[in-house]
Amino acid sequence: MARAEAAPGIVRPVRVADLMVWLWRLLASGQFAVAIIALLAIAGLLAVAIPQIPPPMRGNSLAIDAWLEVRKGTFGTFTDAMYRLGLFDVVRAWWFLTGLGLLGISTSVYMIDRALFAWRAVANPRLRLPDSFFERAANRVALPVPVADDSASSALEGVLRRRRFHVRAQTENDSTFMFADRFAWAQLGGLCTHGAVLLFLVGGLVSYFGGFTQDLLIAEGRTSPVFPVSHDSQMQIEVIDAVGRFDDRGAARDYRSEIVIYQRGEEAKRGVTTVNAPVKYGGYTFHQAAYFGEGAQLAIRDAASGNTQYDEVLALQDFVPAPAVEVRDAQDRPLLSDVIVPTDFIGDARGTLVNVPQDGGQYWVGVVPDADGKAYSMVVYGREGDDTRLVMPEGSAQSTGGLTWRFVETQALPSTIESTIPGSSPNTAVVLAETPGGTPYLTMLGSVDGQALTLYPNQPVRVGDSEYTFVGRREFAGISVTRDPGANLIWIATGLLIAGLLVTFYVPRLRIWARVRSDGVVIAAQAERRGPFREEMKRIEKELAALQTAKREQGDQADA
Amino acid sequence: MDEEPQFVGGRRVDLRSALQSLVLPLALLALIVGGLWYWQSRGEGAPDSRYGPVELPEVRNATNDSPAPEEGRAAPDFLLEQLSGGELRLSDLQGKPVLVNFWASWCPPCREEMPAIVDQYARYKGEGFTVVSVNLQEPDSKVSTFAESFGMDFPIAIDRAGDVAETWRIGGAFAGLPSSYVIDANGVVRNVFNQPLTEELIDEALAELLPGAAQ
Repeated sequence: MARAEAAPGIVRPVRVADLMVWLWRLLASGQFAVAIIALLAIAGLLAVAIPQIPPPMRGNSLAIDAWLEVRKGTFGTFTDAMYRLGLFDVVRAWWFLTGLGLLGISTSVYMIDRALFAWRAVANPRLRLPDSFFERAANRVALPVPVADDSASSALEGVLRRRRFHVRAQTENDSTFMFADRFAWAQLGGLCTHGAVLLFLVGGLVSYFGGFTQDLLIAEGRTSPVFPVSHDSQMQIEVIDAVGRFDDRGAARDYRSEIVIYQRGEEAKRGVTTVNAPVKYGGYTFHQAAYFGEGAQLAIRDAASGNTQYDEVLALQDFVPAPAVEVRDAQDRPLLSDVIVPTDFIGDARGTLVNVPQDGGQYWVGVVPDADGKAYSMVVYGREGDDTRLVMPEGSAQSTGGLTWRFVETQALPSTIESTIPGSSPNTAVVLAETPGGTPYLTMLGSVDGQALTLYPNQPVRVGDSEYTFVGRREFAGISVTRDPGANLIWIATGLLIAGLLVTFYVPRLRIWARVRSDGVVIAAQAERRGPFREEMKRIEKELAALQTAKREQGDQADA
Repeated sequence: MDEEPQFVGGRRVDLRSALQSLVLPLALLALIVGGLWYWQSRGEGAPDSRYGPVELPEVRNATNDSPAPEEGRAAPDFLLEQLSGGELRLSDLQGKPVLVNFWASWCPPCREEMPAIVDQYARYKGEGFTVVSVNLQEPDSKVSTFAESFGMDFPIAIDRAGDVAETWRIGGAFAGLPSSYVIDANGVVRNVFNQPLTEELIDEALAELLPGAAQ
């Protein structure tokens, strides 16, 4: 074929094909991959060394600005530049993502580039190699065994087969060429490892683009949809029972919930989900992710029709300070021991009117914060001519008028402010407390005509046309619904990676080319490690020598 | 990355090798991924395809425009199962004012508005007013408990697949739950409420449709 030669001194334009070949070679090169991995490793170190923007702040510019202001104390004038470079959010920085993408492309190109070659080396190796290979190979040995007869090649072949080599032979003129391979498939170990890296990246991408996460806080007895409004795969989760177990110090030991999953109008799955053992259905995983124990179900019905007007589980996320108080008489007999739920809020003071049994007196008992706001003092004011005025710190006791008042402790009572309770004031405070006997009760402040309403479990109280019922205490389960389509790919990748590394490092693949001629035998090898080759050659040489000796003895006996 | 000896010759791609080394592994990978996808998505049965949005007959479209859940447009028709049994087709109710209310028991504002809907239905049903209450994809038992508790004695249909809600644009940027539509006797949407209904809102909407509705 005629070929155009470039004249000396003329610069030939770069052809697109040349550029593509160059790009392909660059992406397929190991050095390029190592350079990218090094870059990503450095980025990882930076992400560890430099404070990173907390994930919940992402997308909230105000929160990020406040966070950066704090960082200026450390990084000074460099802070803004570092932020623009993505050093405070390394894993989402454009250059990090570009590096990841390049690594994926490089690994893919390498795999494609090597796959054909590796498979051909395994399935269809070259038998006949040039003499120069037998003269220059790093791993080669010329056997001193004088093998000059026609049976030399068959003897060597027999020894190699006994040594568990797969042998193929080819005779040309006076030479026999052999290729012997052991653990040929180990060549694919490297591909396996690279395939794993690629699968990790693919798995990450699949999870990123196809993943789904939804966190739900669901009260016992309540249902919540997985997707907002309607969806082809819509499911509802009902929490039957939410359980939180804590140790003596209040540290969480276990969260678990019995849940029911509904889909297409039918119960699809029922089970107990925990933090480590989620319920799975339809490709979705339902984890117990959180627990909140302070809830109260309040129901209001129309007294005439019985129709529900209101039925909600209130999450009592706030706390109201309340004094635990003991009152004794002059003979030290206990008259009162209870936690006083505040109903009056006067300035900083929170308290209520208390009737002391047997004594008959009425007192306003409450707490006021100390000047530093870190503790509370209990106040006791007498009424109707009683000039009792007590202010005492936590743990102390004071006596007056024949009564001894002890401020045992300040308790934080779960509470919330609700604005949607029918018939109540716009901001109704709801407080949950327990009687000394352990029965929970709900106090609604300002619900009816500004008065407090106390409700005990399942004891309806009629006010006007409505009937108020504290149905009971309810716990909340935080359920995290996730779908991670890339997770299985990650598992496969992990298995491939382990298998590939094991094969690469622990399977002693050995490829031997032998040339048998009348002037002797030369064996050369392509071996990753020299040690196994030498050991193998010693054994082959020994076995060949033994064969030679046996043959010689047979000849001597025949001669005799 | 392992290296081959320099004496091995240039690469030559033949079809058989390409088939063995690329196509087969890729096919295997596709098989694995497909299997995983099937494994993950199993368990999702299809609802009865008869139910859902249906075409509004031409003779029942009082406007010159296609149906849409917008004021002045013909209400999109649907056929759904009723909680009490049987079917309900929206266009069959033409001739009287209808309030179509989309709701779910897990939706707090739906619970908030339901007493007002129940009360107004009781007040105006004698004048021909009716309510079509469309539940979104919930089990019958949940719907039934809710309906009993709130005293809902109007027709309750269940949108099991959620495609009626989709047609009525529930779940977009502005129309969540609850959403309600007041439809006149000709089947034309007169009011759209993407908020919890109150007795006052229903009164105002029905004022032009029912002679006895409070102004």
